[in-house]
Amino acid sequence: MSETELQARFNRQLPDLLPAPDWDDVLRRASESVPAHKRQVVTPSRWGVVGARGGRRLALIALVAAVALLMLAAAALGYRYFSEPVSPGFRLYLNKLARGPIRFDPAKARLRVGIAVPKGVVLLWTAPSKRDGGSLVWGFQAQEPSNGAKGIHAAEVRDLGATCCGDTTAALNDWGGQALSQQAGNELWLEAGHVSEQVVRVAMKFQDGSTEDAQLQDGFFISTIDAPHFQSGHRPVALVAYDHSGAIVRQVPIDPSGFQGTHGAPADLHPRARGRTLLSFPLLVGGHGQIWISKGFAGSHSWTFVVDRRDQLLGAGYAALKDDPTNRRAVNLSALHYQDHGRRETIYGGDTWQIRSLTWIHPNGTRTQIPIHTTPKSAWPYIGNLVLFQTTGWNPTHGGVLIARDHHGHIVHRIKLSTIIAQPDD
Amino acid sequence: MDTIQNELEALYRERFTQFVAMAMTLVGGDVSEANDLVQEAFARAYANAESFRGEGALAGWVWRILFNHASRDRSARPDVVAVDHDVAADLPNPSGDPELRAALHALSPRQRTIVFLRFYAGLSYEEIATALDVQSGTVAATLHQSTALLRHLLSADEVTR
Repeated sequence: MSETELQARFNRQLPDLLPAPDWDDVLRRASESVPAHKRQVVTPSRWGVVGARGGRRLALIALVAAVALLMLAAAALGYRYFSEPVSPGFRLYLNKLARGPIRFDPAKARLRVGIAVPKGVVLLWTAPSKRDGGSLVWGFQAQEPSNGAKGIHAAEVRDLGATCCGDTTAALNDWGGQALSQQAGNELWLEAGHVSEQVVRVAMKFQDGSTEDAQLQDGFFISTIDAPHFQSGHRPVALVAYDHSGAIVRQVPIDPSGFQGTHGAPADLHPRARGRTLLSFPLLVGGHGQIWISKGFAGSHSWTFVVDRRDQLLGAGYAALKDDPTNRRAVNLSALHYQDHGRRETIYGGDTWQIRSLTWIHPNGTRTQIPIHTTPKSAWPYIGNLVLFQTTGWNPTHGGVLIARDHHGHIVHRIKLSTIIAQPDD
Repeated sequence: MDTIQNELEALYRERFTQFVAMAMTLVGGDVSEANDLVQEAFARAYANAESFRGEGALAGWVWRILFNHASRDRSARPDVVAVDHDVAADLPNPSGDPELRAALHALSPRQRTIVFLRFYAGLSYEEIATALDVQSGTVAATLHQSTALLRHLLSADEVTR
C-alpha cells in the first residue's frame, strides 16, 4: 500500500461536508477570553473592511482568495467541495427536471452549502436559470444512511424538491423551505436562500429571543428548524442578515403561527399550513391526500400538496398562486410525483376560477376525461376552484394537451402538459 | 503582536479544514464539537499571541493549545479517558473502516496522534514536533515506524480477505 493509498483511505473517513471558517467568531471568543485588565479592542479582520468602495472590493478579493485557499486545501485532502457539480445520480433527476419549462443547464448545477441533520446531510444546489435574466433554480438534496427508518428512508441520495427561480439581487432572499422529516414529532424544516456579499452572518430569530446561525457559504445559506421550535413561544419570528460590523442588513419576518407541531394532530403535518385542509382526496395507491394552503411572506399566496398516508407524509409540492387574484383567466398547474410500494402516482393540481372539467388529448389524438376534485368557492378567498387530478400507470408529461372547460362547456384553457412544472419527490 | 495575529488569521483561513478534520479525531468524530475546539484554540492563540516566542512553527503552537484545551475538556468528561499525556485520538468515523481502525489501534496513542497530524492535519515534521513538544527526528522516526506498521497490517489484511 502506497503513501497515497493510505492517505486516500484516511480521507474516506471524513464527512463530505465540514463547517465553514468563521474568523469573526474567533475574534469574539478571543475578546471574551482576555482578562479585563488586558482587554483591548480586537483589531478588525484585515480582510473584513467595511464601508468604502475600495474596502468592499478588497473584501471581495479576499473572500475569493479565502474560498480558493479553502478549495485547494479541500482538494488536497480529497474532500467533496460545495461548488463541485452534482453527483451523476442526482444529475439524472436534474436532467428530468430541466426538460420541463424551468429551462436550465444541469451541467451548471452546483452544490452550494450543506448542513448536518439528524439522519444525514442536506445539500442546497442551484443552477442558473435561462429565464428571468439569470435567476436561480434551487433545490435540496438529502444524503442519508440507508437504515430502513421510516420517513425519508433508504435514500442515499434523494432530492427534496426544486423551485424556480430565486432572485439574487436583494440583501437577503429567503427562498422558503422544505419539510424533511415526515414522522410526527420529529419535524425538521429547512430554510434556505441567498444573501448579498456584505452579509457575513444569517441567523434565525425565535419567539423566546434565542437565535440560531444558519450555515452560510459563498452567499448561500441553509438553516434547520427542529421540533422544539414548533412549540408555542419558541417558534421562528424572523430571518436576520448581518454585515461584518454586526449591523442588521435586512430582516425578513416569519409568521410563527405557520410552524405547528404534529403532536396529536396529523392534519397539521405541514409546518406552514394554517390548519386548514382545502381538499381531502383518496390516493390511487391507497390512503388519503390533502391539500393545504399556506401564505407566503410578502403577501403572496402559495398552495401546498401534502400527501398524507397513515400519518406519513409521502411528499409535498408547492406552487405559487396566481399573483393577481382578480385575474380570472389565470391558471397555474403544478405536479407532484411520488411512489409507494413500487406504484407510482402523479398528482396534478392548480388554481383557476373557471375549470369545471378536464379532457386529456393524448398525443395520438384519443381523449380521456379526467376526473377532477375541486374546492368549494368559500374555502379560500383567492381561489375559485382548485383542481386536482391524479394519474397512475400513465405519464401525461410524455405529451398531450389538457382541455379545460367552464360550466357552460366553453373551452377556457388549453394546457400543454409538458409545460407543467413537476416536483418529483421520489 | 499584530504580526502574529495576522499570521494566525492567515493560518486559520488557509488550514481551517485540516484543523477541523484533525480535531474530529479528538472528539469521537463530532463535527460541531471539533469546530468548537478549533474556534476556541484559535481564540486562545489570538488572545495570547504575545506569549508565542517564535520557537518552532506557529501552526504547531496552535496545535499545542488545541491539544491542551481538548485534554482539559476531556478531563471534565468522565466518559472519556485520556491516555498518558496524549489525547485518545481515533478515526473521525470510528465504524467506517474497521480494518484501518484495528491497525491504528496497534499503534500507541502517541504514534496514532502523530499519524493523524500527518494525514489529517497535513503538518510538517517541524510542526508536529512543536505541537507535541518533541524533536523533529523523533517525529520522523515515529512516523516512519508507524506508517510501515500500518502498511504491513493493512496489506496483510488485504491478503487474507
